[in-house]
Amino acid sequence: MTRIPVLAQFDSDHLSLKTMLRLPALTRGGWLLSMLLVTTLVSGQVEPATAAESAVDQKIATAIGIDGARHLLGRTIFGAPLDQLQRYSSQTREEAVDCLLETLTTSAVTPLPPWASLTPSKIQQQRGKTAESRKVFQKSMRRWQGELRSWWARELISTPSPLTERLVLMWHGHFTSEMTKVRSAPAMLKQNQLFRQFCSGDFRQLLHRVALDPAMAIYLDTRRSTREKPNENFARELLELYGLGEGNYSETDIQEAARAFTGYRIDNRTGKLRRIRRRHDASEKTVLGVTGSLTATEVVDAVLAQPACAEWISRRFWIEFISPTPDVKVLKQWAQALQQEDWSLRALLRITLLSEAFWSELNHGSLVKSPVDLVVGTMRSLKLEKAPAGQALRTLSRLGQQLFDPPNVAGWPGGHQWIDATTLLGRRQFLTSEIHNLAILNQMQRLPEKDLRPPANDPESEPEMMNPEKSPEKKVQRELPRRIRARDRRRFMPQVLRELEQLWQSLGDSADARSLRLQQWLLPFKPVGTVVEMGSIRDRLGSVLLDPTYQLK
Amino acid sequence: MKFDRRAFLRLGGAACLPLLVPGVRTWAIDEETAATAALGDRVLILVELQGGNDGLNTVIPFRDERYKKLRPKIAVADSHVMDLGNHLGMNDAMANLGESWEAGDACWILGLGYPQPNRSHFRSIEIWETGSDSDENLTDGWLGRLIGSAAGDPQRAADGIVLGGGDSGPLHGDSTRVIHLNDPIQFTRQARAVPDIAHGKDARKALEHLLEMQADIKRSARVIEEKRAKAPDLGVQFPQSKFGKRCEIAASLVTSGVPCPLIKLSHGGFDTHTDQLRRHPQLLTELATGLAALRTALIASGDWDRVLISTYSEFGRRASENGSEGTDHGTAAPHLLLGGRVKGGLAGAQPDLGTLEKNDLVFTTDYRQLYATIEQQWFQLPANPLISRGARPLPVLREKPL
Repeated sequence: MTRIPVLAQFDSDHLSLKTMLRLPALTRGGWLLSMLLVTTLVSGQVEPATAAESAVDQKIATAIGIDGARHLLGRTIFGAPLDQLQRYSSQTREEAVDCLLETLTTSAVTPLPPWASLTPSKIQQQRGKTAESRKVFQKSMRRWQGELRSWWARELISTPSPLTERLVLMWHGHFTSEMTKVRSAPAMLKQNQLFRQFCSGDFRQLLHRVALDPAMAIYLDTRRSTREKPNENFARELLELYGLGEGNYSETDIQEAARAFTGYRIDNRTGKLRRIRRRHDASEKTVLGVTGSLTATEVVDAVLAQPACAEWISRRFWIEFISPTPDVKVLKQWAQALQQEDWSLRALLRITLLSEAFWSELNHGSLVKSPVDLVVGTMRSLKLEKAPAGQALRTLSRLGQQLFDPPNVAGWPGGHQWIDATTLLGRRQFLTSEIHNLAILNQMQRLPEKDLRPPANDPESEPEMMNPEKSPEKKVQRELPRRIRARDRRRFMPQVLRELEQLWQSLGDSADARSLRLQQWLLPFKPVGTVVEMGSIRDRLGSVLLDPTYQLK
Repeated sequence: MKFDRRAFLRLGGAACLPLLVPGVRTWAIDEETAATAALGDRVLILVELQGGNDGLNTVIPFRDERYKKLRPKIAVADSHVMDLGNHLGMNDAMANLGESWEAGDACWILGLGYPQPNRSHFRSIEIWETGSDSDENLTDGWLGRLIGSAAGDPQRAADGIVLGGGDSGPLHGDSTRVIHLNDPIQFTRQARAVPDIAHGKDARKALEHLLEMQADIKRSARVIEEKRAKAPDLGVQFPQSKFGKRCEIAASLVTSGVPCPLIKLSHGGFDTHTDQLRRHPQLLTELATGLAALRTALIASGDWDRVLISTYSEFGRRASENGSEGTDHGTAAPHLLLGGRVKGGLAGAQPDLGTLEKNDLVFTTDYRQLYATIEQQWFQLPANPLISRGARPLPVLREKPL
């Protein structure tokens, strides 16, 4: 192995880890090799070392440590239990990221609600034609909506691949549809599965499928758009929010594109979108410089052909994973890489997570946790996966992130906007009282069914927060314990505390070490408030969770 | 009279202003700072009609043949129109505002819009909320700029209160303190448990924001709790809709004297691309019943003269209906002013259905004329080119209450 010729290929000014990390085309093996060379060069080592020795040195030299692991896992998988964090902490950036990427999958593990197996024609049948039957159908549809939300919440809380769910959630906020408008739970489920199938796949396919997704066609009115009167809703959002971003198209492009999206209807037998010839405007149109008798598919291709498209998607990844302020120069590089990688979203994710910006100290704690980060992340970190999803759902909705119902077509605005007076107080409420309930419910769920008494109106039990506006979920949640009876609290709390004590003991050898480890595990910075340094783990943990920095990732 | 009024106020001249400016009612001068006095005890309640309210089915040119031609399926039938004069009529879904119209404290400003209209929800609401030109990007909300140096007055509960969701929008500003709340009682109870943590400028922006928010919560909650303890019961029944509840909270804040010059409420669902004839009247009814109850409460408490209510929305809707019995994003639209000092009637000019541009109405009144009115006549501030952009106020307010 001769070093000099290889090194000669690099422009020495740019010979840094930074540029290396941004070269997506390098294979993993080649990458490691180059890394070795670079480090040896940089560290001024002259003596040749064996590859194996250097690899070990390398690994130790750049192990991400507990801070790095918390940063990486907090932003990708909603946080993690301490043992998982520790496993990651000994790895290099690249190893840790690749290890995470290996977990990506395309389907959920939570069993689907029973209605998911109904065929579209069966559902039509249930809906019926009379006013009476439709009323009944509407009622069950509301129940289905609640079941769908619970299904996804359950998956978020206990999935073995939280990275997949993070991406599904990101695409749900990007290619928004609101169930309040779409109404059909089966269509929303299909869309959610579509996101899961393509979340780390080929973006071109994802965009094409979204354009012909039934829930989307309902949400943005494509299914009602006719040749005579094209509806611009979908065309506008395709250009403005989904594919390109403002400033990269004209009003005329929207009007022309809207004509291409005319005549698509949902086929009641297949549940899929179908182009009806007599409703479709087949005349000539020009969208983004492409002229022809364009259909939906060709308009999507025209969007993908714009350089702005790959940049727009890169921007989405930056904002999701790095900071609220993207570096445009870097976005351009990512956009190029994305296209070179055949639009592989997995490749883009890898680039994002290995970028210098991702790991920069400046960006630690620069993102506000979303309600899902906070609720699901806390539950996963503290291993409360068995607690019922309904409780988590209610909290999410109260904190401004009702699953399947973003506030509008632009999705959740996120960032600072997650935090206003109401939601900040709500977050504290979750961390002070609801978390205890979750811990008790988590214990209760471990018992066989017969040990649990049906929920009753126990006057001693504490009333829980609920949102009177969100009636659709009530039905589902009624099957779950809505209140924790004082008796159950007395019965299960000791076990909760015992486990907390075990956790505390596992944190380190001395109280100081444990205290520090607790903060490192959960907080992106040193706490800014007063953290309890004495007393029980319950008090200590509580004060760490209530520190304002816990709201950041 | 030519002098820099803002500088004058800074010099502490506020105390003698009521003597100089006719019609300015008792400003609480004694212990209040000049900054507070700059806005007086007047309150602006903004109502955002989210999604783009269809102006043509709200204030209806029902005598115009072209209206029915443009909207064969969704034109409001004559039997559902309340005549406002000038060949215009109000959708009778808003019948609850009839009393206000009769009393002469409701004004429709017609044809509000701006040149080179943008039809994107997000961009157009941004234009309205920042007060920018169509091709200009401003960050601060227009009221954030209006309140400018008077922001952050410790006597106030907040510079602005946003009720029931939605962002700060027009109230947004670097120095404005805006709080969001759903339920004042719950709010004050929870705020008591929040610890005081020293805060200041921090390179960690997200953290800085969090700590500021915590401090704002504490301060606002203290003031709100104190005032509400002495609040009168007005015995007014508010509608149980989301919007009705928001109106009820707004009423309770104003009538209990919570010091806060700006309140924003939102009313969602106006993006009526489909099924408009069913959905739009429901939305208007919720709007009208909520506002009518708010009016009744404020009259009963004697606060009506110090409150101005104004609606706004990102745009109106396309003049012609679409194929799904709805309307697409459009341009100009009328907006409603209510208040004890409002000169009732119609202001501005109805856009001509004969001269559409890309099938859309052409605005007749720059929306910043409304802002100039609020700035110069309601809050009695000098014209600031950054806020009203040289637009002239509209003659829609009276100097003296009825």
